[in-house]
Amino acid sequence: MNSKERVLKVLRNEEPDRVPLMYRDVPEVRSRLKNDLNLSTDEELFQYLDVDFRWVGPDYVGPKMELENGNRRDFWGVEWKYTKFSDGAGYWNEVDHPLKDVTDPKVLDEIQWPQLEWWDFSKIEEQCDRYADYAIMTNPGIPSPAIFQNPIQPLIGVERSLMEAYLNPEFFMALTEKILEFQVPFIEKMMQAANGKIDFFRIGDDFGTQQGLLMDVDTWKGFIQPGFKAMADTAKKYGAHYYQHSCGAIRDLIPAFIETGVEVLDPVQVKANGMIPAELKAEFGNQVCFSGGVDEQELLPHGTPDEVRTGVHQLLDDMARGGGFIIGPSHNFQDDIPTENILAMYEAAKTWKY
Amino acid sequence: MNDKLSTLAACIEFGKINKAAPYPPQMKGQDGADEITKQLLDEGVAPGDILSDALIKGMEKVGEKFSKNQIFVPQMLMSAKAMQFAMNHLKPFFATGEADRRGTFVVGTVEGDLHDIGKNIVAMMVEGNGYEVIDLGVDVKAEQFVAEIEKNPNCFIGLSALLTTTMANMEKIVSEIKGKYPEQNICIGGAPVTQDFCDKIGADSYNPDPQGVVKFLNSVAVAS
Ligand code: B12
Repeated sequence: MNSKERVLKVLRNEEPDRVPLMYRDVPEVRSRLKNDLNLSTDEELFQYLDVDFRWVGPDYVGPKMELENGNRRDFWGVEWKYTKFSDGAGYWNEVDHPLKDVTDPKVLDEIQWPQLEWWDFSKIEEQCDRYADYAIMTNPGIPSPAIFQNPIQPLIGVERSLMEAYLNPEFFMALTEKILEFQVPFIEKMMQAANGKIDFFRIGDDFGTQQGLLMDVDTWKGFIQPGFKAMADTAKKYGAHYYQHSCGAIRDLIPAFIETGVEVLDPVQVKANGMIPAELKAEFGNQVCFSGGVDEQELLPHGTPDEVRTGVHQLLDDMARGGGFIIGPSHNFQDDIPTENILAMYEAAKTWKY
Repeated sequence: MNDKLSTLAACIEFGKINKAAPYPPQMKGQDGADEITKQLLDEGVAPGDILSDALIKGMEKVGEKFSKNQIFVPQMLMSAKAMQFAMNHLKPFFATGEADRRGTFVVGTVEGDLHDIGKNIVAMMVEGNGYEVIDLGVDVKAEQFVAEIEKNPNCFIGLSALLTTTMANMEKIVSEIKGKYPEQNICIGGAPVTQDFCDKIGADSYNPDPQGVVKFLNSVAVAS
């Protein structure tokens, strides 16, 4: 059984030979793992860990992003700065919100939005063929788009983006429309170029906090759901499955996700309020496949390798039986997670039996 | 009690910012916190009474509902914004000492961390409960807190961290502050932070939500 078959099998709620393995990280972890394991390429690392997924997408060939001050300006016009949290590691964060003072929907017509020509789609099918044995997912970044967290939050600022649907709903809708006018054709072109060979189209947005939802379900249905559905339906025309990411305590939103057509829900942030694996499985297990679940707020950074192994087996006992579960970290592996814990996690997952 | 004070409390509770704001739908077209605060001042109501009988009352309700998950972050932010509009009218009086504040709260998200939604909510709730708030923003280093303590020796410190990777910096900041000012009160919070962690790094108070930190500040502020 190859990786693609294994993943598609759990999606049909059947049990394959072993639980499928997801992987996601920050760049610092990727280079550390390769270094610690004496591997030189990403592909070697994925093979070493037996990761069942591979990622594909178009190449960016648009206007240069690097700025003279060392920052980057992305294709939405947002400037990002690298901020360190320790000597060897850091995160990119936005410096300004270019539309923070724009409240009139008409102004959105005068703005330079990203263009499809800024990407080269010609090599996607070749990438899919190279990884034909694996479950193929859209790359992080614009091939796995969002609406709310990106680009609305960077464009108008996080607080305004949270209040906008209530205080200036016309603007929120107009902005969403502009974003979709670019993103939907982008998805169409990407899927066409892949010739039906992309298995998972991912939307990467966030609607949960540690305690509950970032907004109420009705607002989500009114302002977010239509855009997600438009993007996902576009990808589905080409045979892709709809894989949705949202951090946090999103249990109350799961029925709405299912209604939107979500087939896989990630990353199951188990320490967030109400995100209890066995309960999620019992309540939603025959309607949606879950992906993720290995806690990185406590277990992965602070546990011993033995504790990680026990935690992984417990999680799999709760969630994996009968299919419908892919195991992975509850967010990108962060730089505070020791290499041996990452190795223990994959090893434990591979030795667990259905 | 003045009817307008209760209307103002309701504006804060339900996030009615000003007349132009379309939210909440049931108050559409009515005066909001902005207009009513100004009217109250024009009528000669004391700024301290407006703060304690309307703003703090409204904010307390908001805090309760938020911690019970009855309202969400957007509603919280709109209430806070309504508060800000009201405070803009009151601030000149506080500056001249005509109305008293309970104390000063210096808050920031720790070095390397840029999550600020929660920190801002805490800042707004604390301000809404009668404290002066100095918000140092995100990615704040120990030196910046120390510099602020030198200017405001009795201030409370609030640290927010949303990442396990930046909790280490929270520990570093606490130990630098306590090294110089062992008596300074430091409150901490954020998604991955726990009471155990608070005990371990020697901070004075951990709270999972803004309600708790307000209670803590009030208990210390009253005692001193
Ligand atoms: C929104 C969000 C973002 C936004 C932040 C936008 C912004 N301007 O703040 C963006 C997209 C930018 C982002 C980025 C990242 N994020 Co983020 N993010 C979140 C998310 C979904 C919600 C956080 C939030 O705003 N909650 C809403 C507020 C109201 O809640 P709160 O912050 O917890 O605050 C409340 C309480 O904690 C408390 N409180 C907070 N501060 C204080 C302070 C004091 C003194 C007190 C008393 C109380 C208190 O009161 C608040 C109100 O009730 C969380 C999920 C989660 N479970 O929390 C992930 C989460 C925090 N992010 C995570 C990660 C990994 C990241 C990134 C590192 C991603 C990456 N590159 O890999 C980056 C890092 C950026 C950086 N340098 O900081 C992980 C962290 C995991 C870990 N190992 O710790 C989380 C937990 C998600 C997950 N699945 O695990 N993120």
